[in-house]
Amino acid sequence: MGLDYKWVFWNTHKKAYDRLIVSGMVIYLVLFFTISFLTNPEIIAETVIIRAFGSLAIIMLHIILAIGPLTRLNTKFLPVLYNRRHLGVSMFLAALIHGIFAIIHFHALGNVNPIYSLFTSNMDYGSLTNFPFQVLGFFALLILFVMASTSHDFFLHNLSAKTWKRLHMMVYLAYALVILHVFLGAFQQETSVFTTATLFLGWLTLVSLHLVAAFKESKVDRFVAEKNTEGWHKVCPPEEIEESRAKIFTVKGERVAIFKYDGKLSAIHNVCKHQGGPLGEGKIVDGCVTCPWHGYQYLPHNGQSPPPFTEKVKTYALKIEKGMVYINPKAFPEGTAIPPISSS
Amino acid sequence: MIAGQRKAHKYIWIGIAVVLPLLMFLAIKDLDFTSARTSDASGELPVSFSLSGQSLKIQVDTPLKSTASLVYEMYTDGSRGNILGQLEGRGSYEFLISPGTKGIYIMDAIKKEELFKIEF
Amino acid sequence: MKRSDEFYIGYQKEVGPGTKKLLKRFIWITVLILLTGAAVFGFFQRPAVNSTFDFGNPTQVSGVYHESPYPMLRVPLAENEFKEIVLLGFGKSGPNPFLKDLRERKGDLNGKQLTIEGQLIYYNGRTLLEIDDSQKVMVSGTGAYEQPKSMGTRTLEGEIIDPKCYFGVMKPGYGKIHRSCAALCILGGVPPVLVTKEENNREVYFLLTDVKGNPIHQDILPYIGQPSRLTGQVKELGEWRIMQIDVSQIEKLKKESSIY
Repeated sequence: MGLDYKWVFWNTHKKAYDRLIVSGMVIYLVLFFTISFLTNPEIIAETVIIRAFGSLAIIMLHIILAIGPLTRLNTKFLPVLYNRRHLGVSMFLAALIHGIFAIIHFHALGNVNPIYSLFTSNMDYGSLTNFPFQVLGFFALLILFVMASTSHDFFLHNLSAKTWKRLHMMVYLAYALVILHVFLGAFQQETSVFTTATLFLGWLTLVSLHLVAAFKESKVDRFVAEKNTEGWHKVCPPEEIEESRAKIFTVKGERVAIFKYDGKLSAIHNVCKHQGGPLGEGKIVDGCVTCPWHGYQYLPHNGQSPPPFTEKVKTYALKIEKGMVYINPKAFPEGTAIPPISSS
Repeated sequence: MIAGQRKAHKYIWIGIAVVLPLLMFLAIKDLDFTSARTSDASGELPVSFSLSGQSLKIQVDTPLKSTASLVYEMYTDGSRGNILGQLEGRGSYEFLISPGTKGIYIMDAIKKEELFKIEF
Repeated sequence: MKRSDEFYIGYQKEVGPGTKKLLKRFIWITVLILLTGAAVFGFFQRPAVNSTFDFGNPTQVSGVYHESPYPMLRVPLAENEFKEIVLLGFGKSGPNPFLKDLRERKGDLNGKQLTIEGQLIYYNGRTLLEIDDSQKVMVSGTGAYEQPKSMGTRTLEGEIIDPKCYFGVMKPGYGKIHRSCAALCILGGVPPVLVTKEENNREVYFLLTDVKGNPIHQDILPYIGQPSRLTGQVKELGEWRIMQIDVSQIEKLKKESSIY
């Protein structure tokens, strides 16, 4: 990335996205408050605030976790992925309000430090149903805090996409902690078939989406190609690749994107340097491979982002033999120019 | 994503699919999902009464929003008379009332407020 | 690999018609999920009780101070009618920090007539008073107070709560969610109270002391906020009961609390 970092590069879609997030959150909170005070006139505001923001954060977390596999199953969901981190930060803020109010409500104004109290006021760590559930929520919030605070591209680049992704995969741990936080906390006292069933249904939906997407993907990863005498891998006839699009091909478990454009073919590594997006599901726009996730661009013949950007990906050599495209499995260093071959 | 991360995602979600429902089940298996909810939401009056001769029975169905509830007799002219006693929470209370009592007042004795006026 | 030629780029304005259609559907489904979620999580909350905390609305209360064994005020309501008001401190604390000054100046406060301006907490015929400022406690003479009357030994099932939250400050002020708060309150000097329910749904409240009748705080923490069985000498003091227990004999019951 060769440009200065800004808080947010605002554009029409991001603005619309954020407006939708805020409206959704407001609608939820207003409805929750209204129902609470109408059906439960003796309830106190602190309790309703804690419950409203807690339940909102959980629902948002479910939506966030569904977006990834949805885009794997249907690329038309990609616009939802585009600005997912704003959704994540908003969810963290809702969870933070829940956490702060709960810590003040239950742990402040005592004669010990509220955070110390959170860990020590219930010592039944050996029991499941009596387990200090607030500790689980605390660690989930901590994970969400780390994620929200490193969500900016600045951290993404400085931590490297791999480390960043690893860090952000902790959201799955946070999800498990949150579910247990609710099942061992709220549900132990506010027992209701309907709320319990709601979270169970949420779990079922997320697990199904993720596993269906995962098995679809691992089929691609397991692919073993036919090889010619020189060790080049047989891909497909060139006609199989659409114009301005790519075919994703698995070489030794790693994915390569073979693009067809202007009667030429070029192969680059499938993983975008930004967030690891699948370049092979992208498109050639203005002569550049454009990542479907956030629109990062690379020149197909050398895997380099056009100036002023500086991202580079690995490139691969191609050849056509008896009407069949072959690829050399040995990658060239990132940004190495390889002359495109003719697709006919 | 690189292949390793895809694999990691797969195993994480297989883990969530297997372990989480087990913990969810263990957490809720002893809970009583059928228990009736007691609500303090009351109709017009949180108390009911029955009168037989000079004996007045007051049944407090919903806790009174009161710091200390004193029951007074109501004279025919509507003024407050003798103190019959205190209501201390949910339950039934029996008082002997003077002849000619028209009704009762229930007062919050610390805040000096009238809570209810019941005419027989 | 056939796919439609729509391609979304976040920083460009155009969005394909198929993508637009799917997004619209996605947004509506999300709104539906939010509305359903708010309805389910909002509606299926247990009804809160009509307990009251006069927060920001102090009342002046006069009565005879006594420690039996927790600080209480015997407040005359009318001739021969009294209310035994349990005294509490600000936040998650008992009244002692707010009575310290007065004790230093006046010595033992038992039998002293006190006038306190504080915030009342009340529910189901029991009343407590929160003192948030030692300057708002004044001595104005002496008076008589009653000794608790013995009612024999009993074994009871119920939940140990902190009366400050239970009788008004928090809703709900019992159970697992509230447990750590109750532990902090009791650790801070709020008397532990056992809530039991009789067959006719009537709640009975016991101030818990050790076997000798002294206050207990720290030792009872592991038993707070969960159904338990307790045995001890029971005494009566006005509308309250007192139970003298051996904490090590408390039996935790593996079941849902009956006071919910």
